[in-house]
This record gives sequence, structure tokens and C-alpha cells, in this order.
Amino acid sequence: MTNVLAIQHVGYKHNFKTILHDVDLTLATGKIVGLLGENGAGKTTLMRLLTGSAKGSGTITVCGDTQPAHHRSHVSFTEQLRGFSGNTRVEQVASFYRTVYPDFDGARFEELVTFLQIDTSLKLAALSKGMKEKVIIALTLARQVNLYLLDEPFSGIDSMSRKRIISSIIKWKPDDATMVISDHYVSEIAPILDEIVVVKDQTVAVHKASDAVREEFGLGIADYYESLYEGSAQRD
Amino acid sequence: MTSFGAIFKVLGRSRFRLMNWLILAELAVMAATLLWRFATAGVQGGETFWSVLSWSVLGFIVAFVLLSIQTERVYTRDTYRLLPLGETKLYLTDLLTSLVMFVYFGVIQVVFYAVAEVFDNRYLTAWLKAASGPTYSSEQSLKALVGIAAVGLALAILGWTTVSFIHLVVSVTNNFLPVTSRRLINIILYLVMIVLVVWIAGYLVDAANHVGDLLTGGTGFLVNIVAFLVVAAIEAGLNIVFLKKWVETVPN
Repeated sequence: MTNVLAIQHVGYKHNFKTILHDVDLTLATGKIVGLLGENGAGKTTLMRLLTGSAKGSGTITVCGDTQPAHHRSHVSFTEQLRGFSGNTRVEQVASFYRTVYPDFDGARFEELVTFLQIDTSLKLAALSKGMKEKVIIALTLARQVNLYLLDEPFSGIDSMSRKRIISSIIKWKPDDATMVISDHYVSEIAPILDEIVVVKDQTVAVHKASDAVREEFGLGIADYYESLYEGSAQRD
Repeated sequence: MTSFGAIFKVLGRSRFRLMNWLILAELAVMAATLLWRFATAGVQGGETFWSVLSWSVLGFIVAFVLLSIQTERVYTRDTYRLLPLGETKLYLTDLLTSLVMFVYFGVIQVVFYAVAEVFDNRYLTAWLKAASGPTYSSEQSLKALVGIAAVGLALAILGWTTVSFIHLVVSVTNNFLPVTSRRLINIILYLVMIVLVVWIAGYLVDAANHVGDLLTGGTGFLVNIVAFLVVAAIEAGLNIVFLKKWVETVPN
């Protein structure tokens, strides 16, 4: 099995404060990976480092390429659409994506829009938090890439929307692509995860297959994750 | 990878719309000014020309500022920085898009001047004659107008590269330095900005008083244009290095 991502000795500081230190991580293709950790642990920063949105030290290789500009052609990241004014309609955002991303699949986007029940004629400013998150998911998954980075896709949204988003992830993730989902609510996404990566103490503290966690510790993913913070489980 | 045409298209679309809104607003205030003048003072010579010229100067300043905001937004928004293309291509296309839209705005202004000249033809001619002295001819006045446009564009490019330079330095220092050092850097940058604005304003006043240079074959204008573009190229190079190495986007 080939690797989609290899991170070696990656570090990141902001205003002289260390956020991530000496991070090593390798992800194989075709997996759904839960990137877990407390608020402020560095999950989003790690994702931003992968796309070049944040600048750190160390080596990041995506699909065998170490150049950030090339990384971005292999990675689809849930960005919060801040480059658009509130007056922009969802269909205009989709048109933007269609123009600038050669890998954007318009037909797939339409399927996602139907599945997630998105009204594309709405303006961004008129979208509820849950609806905006669905739009972001639809745009992110409509690209045909090797690595999908979903940064807290369920934060602040209702359980029905969460279920629909989880269903869309299962339905539209290409078999040969890897998907990294960051979250601090573990229970809802635990059943779909192949692997978990826990960011703790400024580094990757745990990287394990979900099945290995269940076998080794006799715990579910959510319980195991919580036990890390209670100090009852050993670090990897 | 994203092509030049694709990025130019998406960046240009919103800026083109913005320039059109500005042109509509400009037309509205020009019309309102003329109506008010005609209603209060009756029809006298020169209203159309001076109204168009005055609002046009303000229009150029507003266009420059609006395009600056659009240009700078690209550097710190994930919407643009996540596109699969290198920072050099992104920076240069962004700058070029603003320049093209500024030229578009300028061409519309020339149309306005031409219309105003139909109504008040002696005012533009009188101004050119005053600037050129007894040697005035149509050929020389055209040369002067092209020269003014060239200086304007060179200044706009220098203005945008300078604004970006300051913006990106602030962005870099905000990421790396502790609060106290950031404040010191910001104060220094504000001072630099003030000095630059005063210097450019002084230059513009001086340039307006020496339009005759162009008509009499003086090389002062040309030297200034080259100097502006050299400084702009150096700043652009530094801005690209900042983008590649240190400038981050605003986090989600």
C-alpha cells in the first residue's frame, strides 16, 4: 500500500509559542482517519501546514511531492469561504470552483447538493451554520483528489445534518483517496474511522488503527480517546 | 494546476463589477452636480468639464483604494491561497488583474473627458496650452496625455506593490513576533507609510506643474517612470518571497 502523506520532523511556532513540535506521521491511501485532540491542540494547524496555509519547519510530502503548490493539487481542504462576500450565491461559489480547480467534478457536486438538500440560489450570508457546513462539504468532496482534509465539519450543527454529512462522506469518498477528519466529538464519527491520530502535547501522541485500539485496549474509540486525557491508557 | 486564464477570470470578474459600480456612482454624482449648478447658477461655460475632471480625480483615488483592498485580500484568504498554483503566479496575476481593471476605469474616464470636451472644448485645450506655452500643437498634447497616463499607471503599480509590502511585513511580524515587538514594527511601518504618502503627493503636485516637460522633450517624466517601476519590481520580488516563505492565511 502506498502512502498519500508523509510528515517528518514538522514543527510550528506562533508568536514564539510552540504549537507543534517534531511531528512525524505517515498515512496510507484509501483510509478514513480521525484527527483527534482538544481545542487548541494543533489539529487545524497541522491541516493548514499540509496545504501551505501555515508555514512551519520540517518536511511534508503529499503523493511524493514536497512543493506546497503541488500539494494543493492533491489536497481538498474545507475552507470557510472567507474570500467571498456575503452576497455571493452558492451557485456562484460553485462556478468559481469549477473555473479554478481542474479536478472539480460538476456532476458530483450536483449529486452532493441534492443529497445534502442545499439550495444553491441562496446567498452565503443567508445560510445557517449547518447549511454553510454542508456547502463546504459538498465543495470539498466534489474535487477528485488524493487527500481530503475536513476540519471540524460537525461543529455547531444539528444531529440530522451531522448524520447527512457522515453519510455523504461514506458515499462520496473515492476508494483510493484518504480522508482526514478533525474533531473533538469522537462518538459520532468513530464508527467510520479506519485509523485515529491524536494530537496531544504539541505532537502526534497516538497513531493507531481503530481495530487495533479495540483489540488492544478493549475500548471503543471514544472511550480510548477520553482515557488518554485521564491518563488511564498508555501512549503509543 | 490552475491556469493563468482561470485565475485572471475569477479575480477579474469581481473587480470588473466593482469598477462598473464605481463608474455608475461617478455618473450619478456628476449628473447631480451639474443639475445643481445649472439650477443655482444657470448655464455658464466650464461646468461640464470641471465637474467631470473633479469627480474623475476622486474616482481614480477610490478605484485605486478599492482595487488595493481586493488585491490584498487574495494574500490572506484560503479561498485563493489554496488554489493549486505557485505564489509567483498568484501574486503577478493578482497585480495584473488590478492593473487591467484600473486601465478599464481610466479608459471610461477618457470617454467622459471626450464627452465633456464636446460641451466645453476650450477648457482642456486652454489647460494644455498653459502647460506647453507657445509651442502647443495637437501632437504635443497627445504626447502629454499619454505621458500623464504612463506616470499614473507606474504610480499605481508602485502604490500596490508598496501597500502589499507593508501589509505582508505586518502579516509576517504578526505571526512571528511577540506583541511588544509587533507594536514597534507597526509604528515604524506607519511612519514609513506617512512619509511615502507625503512624498508621492509632493511628486504629483510637482508633476502636474511640469507637464510641459513632456511637451518640450524633457526626460524627467521618463526617468521617474523607470525609477517607479524599478522600485515596484524590487518590492514585488520581496512580496513574492514573503508569500512563499512566511505569509499565512487567516485561520478558519
